Amino acid sequence: MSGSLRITGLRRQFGGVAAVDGVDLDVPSGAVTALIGPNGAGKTTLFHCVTGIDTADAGTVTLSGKELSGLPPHVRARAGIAWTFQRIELFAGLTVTENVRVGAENRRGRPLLAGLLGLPDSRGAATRATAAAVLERLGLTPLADVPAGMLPGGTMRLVEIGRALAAEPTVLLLDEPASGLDDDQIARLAEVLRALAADGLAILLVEHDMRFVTGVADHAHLMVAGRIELSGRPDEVLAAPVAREIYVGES
Amino acid sequence: MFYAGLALNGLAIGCVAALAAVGLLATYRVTGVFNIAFGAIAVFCAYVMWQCVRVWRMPVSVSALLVLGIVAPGIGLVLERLVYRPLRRSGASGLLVATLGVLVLQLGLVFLLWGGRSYVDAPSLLPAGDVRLVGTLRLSNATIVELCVVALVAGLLTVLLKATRVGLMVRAVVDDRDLAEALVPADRLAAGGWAFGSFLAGLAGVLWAPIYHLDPYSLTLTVLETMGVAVLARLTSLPVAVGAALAIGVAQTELTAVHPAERWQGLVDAFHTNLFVLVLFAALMVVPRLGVRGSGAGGGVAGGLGGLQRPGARRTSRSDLVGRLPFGALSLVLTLPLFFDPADLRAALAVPALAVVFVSLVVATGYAGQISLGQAGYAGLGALFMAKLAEGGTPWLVALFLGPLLVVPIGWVTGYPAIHRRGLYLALTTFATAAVVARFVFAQPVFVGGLAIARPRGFTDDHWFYGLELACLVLALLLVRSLHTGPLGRALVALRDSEPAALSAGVDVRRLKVFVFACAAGLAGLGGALTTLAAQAFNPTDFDPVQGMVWFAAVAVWGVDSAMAAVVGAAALVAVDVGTVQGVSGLLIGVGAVLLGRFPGGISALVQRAGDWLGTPPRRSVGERRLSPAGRALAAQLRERRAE
Repeated sequence: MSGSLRITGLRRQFGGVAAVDGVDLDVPSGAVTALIGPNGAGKTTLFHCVTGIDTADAGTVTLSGKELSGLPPHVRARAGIAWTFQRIELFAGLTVTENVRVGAENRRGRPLLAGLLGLPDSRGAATRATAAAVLERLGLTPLADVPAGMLPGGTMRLVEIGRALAAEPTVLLLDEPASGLDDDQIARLAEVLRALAADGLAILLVEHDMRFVTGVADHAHLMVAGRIELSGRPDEVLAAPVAREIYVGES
Repeated sequence: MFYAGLALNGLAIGCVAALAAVGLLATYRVTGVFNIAFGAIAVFCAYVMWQCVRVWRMPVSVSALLVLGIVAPGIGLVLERLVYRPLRRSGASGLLVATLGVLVLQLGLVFLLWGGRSYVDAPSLLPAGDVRLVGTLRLSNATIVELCVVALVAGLLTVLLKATRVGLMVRAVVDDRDLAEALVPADRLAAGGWAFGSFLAGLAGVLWAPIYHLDPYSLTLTVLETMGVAVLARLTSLPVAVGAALAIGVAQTELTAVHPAERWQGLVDAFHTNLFVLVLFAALMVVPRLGVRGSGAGGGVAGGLGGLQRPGARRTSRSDLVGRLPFGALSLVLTLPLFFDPADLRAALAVPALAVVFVSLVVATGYAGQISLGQAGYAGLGALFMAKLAEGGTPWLVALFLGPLLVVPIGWVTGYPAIHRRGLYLALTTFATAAVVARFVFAQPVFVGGLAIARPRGFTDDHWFYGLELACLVLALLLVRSLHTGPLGRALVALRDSEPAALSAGVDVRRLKVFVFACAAGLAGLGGALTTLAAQAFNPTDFDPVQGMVWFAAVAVWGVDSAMAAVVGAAALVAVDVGTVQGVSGLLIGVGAVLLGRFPGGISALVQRAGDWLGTPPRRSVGERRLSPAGRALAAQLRERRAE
């Protein structure tokens, strides 16, 4: 399976507590995979270990068969993993277009000296086109020249996702992408994610909005206390007693 | 070999260092601020004491009561109320600049009030004489009293903080003042902490002055050097700090007994006179996982320059001042000195050179987010390399550019460990680098003895040389320009706004930071080389580490984001220094730095905001000006939705 993300035996311990306790997870390309579970289950820690922000104590992360463990975040990003943050992280001083362009133009390293000497950027036209296409796809084109710091929260999230997409990744990790979005934006996001998956992208998302999850995801994994407790189709997983206990409070 | 007599002498040195270190740490523990200005407050108090006793003929005991009971705590209270309380949310960098401001301000005051003169007749609180230990070994009363004071303060404070209710409350306030405010009288506790910290500074100054002589720099420098001891103690353990200070003091004097082969003697001498600086440098390189309150554990970074930059300040090709009207006006002003009379032109020669150094600080701090207190070191190295190259036969004009280029790799090597540090430790690392370079290179006759400085052929005349300087300044500004355009410029803004997001976009954050830092080092080197050529002599005092601190404070006041402001700032600093007495510029910079918390971004941000205000039609917000009609409609829609 090309372009897929495979996590095996991943473990991350904080003091005596294993936040992620031996997780095996496949994120196939061409599908949306959802990771659900109560707060503190270790979902974000798992994300951090995949992106390299945090270092796993044990286990491996491979992208299309290529081992990523031990690589710093920016190298993983260049290898084809893109991600967004639970707490929005934008470049407030740059416009929406510029935010997205940063995602597009750092996929490959450019000699720093060339930039310093003011040499023209040979990929400039290409990255501008990529950024424009991404904005169009997310419906952000009218806001292209607005400083990102001035946008409302939901729109910021879309810009963040746009920045991730501009890197043309093979795997996209989204940490609660629907939080702060209004209904129109959620519908648009679901549509975009479905289309991206149809194009062959592997998408993994952490989400608490179960309506969104059932609408967009092909697979769901329920994570509790650092372990994957249940995997399957989203509606199946949500219908299971253990999930109902967490999300509806039934025992 | 270990000599008991030397060890006792060393104990005396170590005692003073321990007093300073305990004062630093105690202030840090009870206020949460690493008070770099501790030494300056101490010096000020010592001068007041001298004034009371020697000029106003007051009895020593009354003077001591006045200084230690009223003046010193009073300074603390005033600083807390006017400086640190408004700054409590501005993060490590804001506080650091404020303490730097206080340091510069106090030094300026000493220069203004006492002309910076040094006195040998500082009144002593302590009984003269000494106590015989064994045989011929003697320990002076002063040392004994100091040891007792150090032990008392360290012991009492440890107990107070760990075991009492007040201690718990103080720790709560230091940890999170906003949170603690709801539970304890935070303002009163913080004020008490500052009064106590300043009292300790006053005590250190009054005890110190009679032992060495009273001058503006000595204790200030000693305290800066003893920061190494504080770092070894990880800014927490008072006993470790005391032990380390005493041990270094003893080691320092023991080293005087080491007599290696003739040619190495100079190096050994440099070691034993500069052991504290070395310890500072080594501690910062070696001690792992240093964390500082208020600078974050390593996640978000935007807070790193809190207070120094205007929030949301944009820095792209379109909105920056470079290349716009002020640039034209400024270049006109900068060419004016060419029509000055010879004496004034000579004074003006310092402006472009200093401006290049200031621009390098904008690059390091405003662009790479690295607080650099060490720019003086790189500036001096640039000058030195140039002189050495010229000595080796390189034409001066080539050496002028080649020398600074050689500083770039040094900036790279020293910047690398620095970027692993954050906030305060980063600043200390850069300062330590400058201090080590100053002591082991600029102060060594081996390196700087007999340097002949000559201006490049064709530029020996002041007019031509001033033109050359302007050309160098333009070069520096062009470099800055390329740092805020294109992919490199965007990556740098990205890095400043959100480091995690920059990483997620594939930006090699560490490499980018070191690269820009190294470029800044090279620029500083160019500024230093020009300074040396302008004076036609290599003056080590031009590149003193304290000078680097003053420069940094000045650039922070003018705005770390704006190269234009840095140039104006350099011109203003030179003008004030030439036009007034010594101390005025320090006073102005100090006041500016101290107030920086109230106008983030400095003077350039104020000017820009005024410009925005003047240039904006009243009904539209800033963002809307850039929008297409469709965008404006959407923005209105968004606003409505937000209002609901």
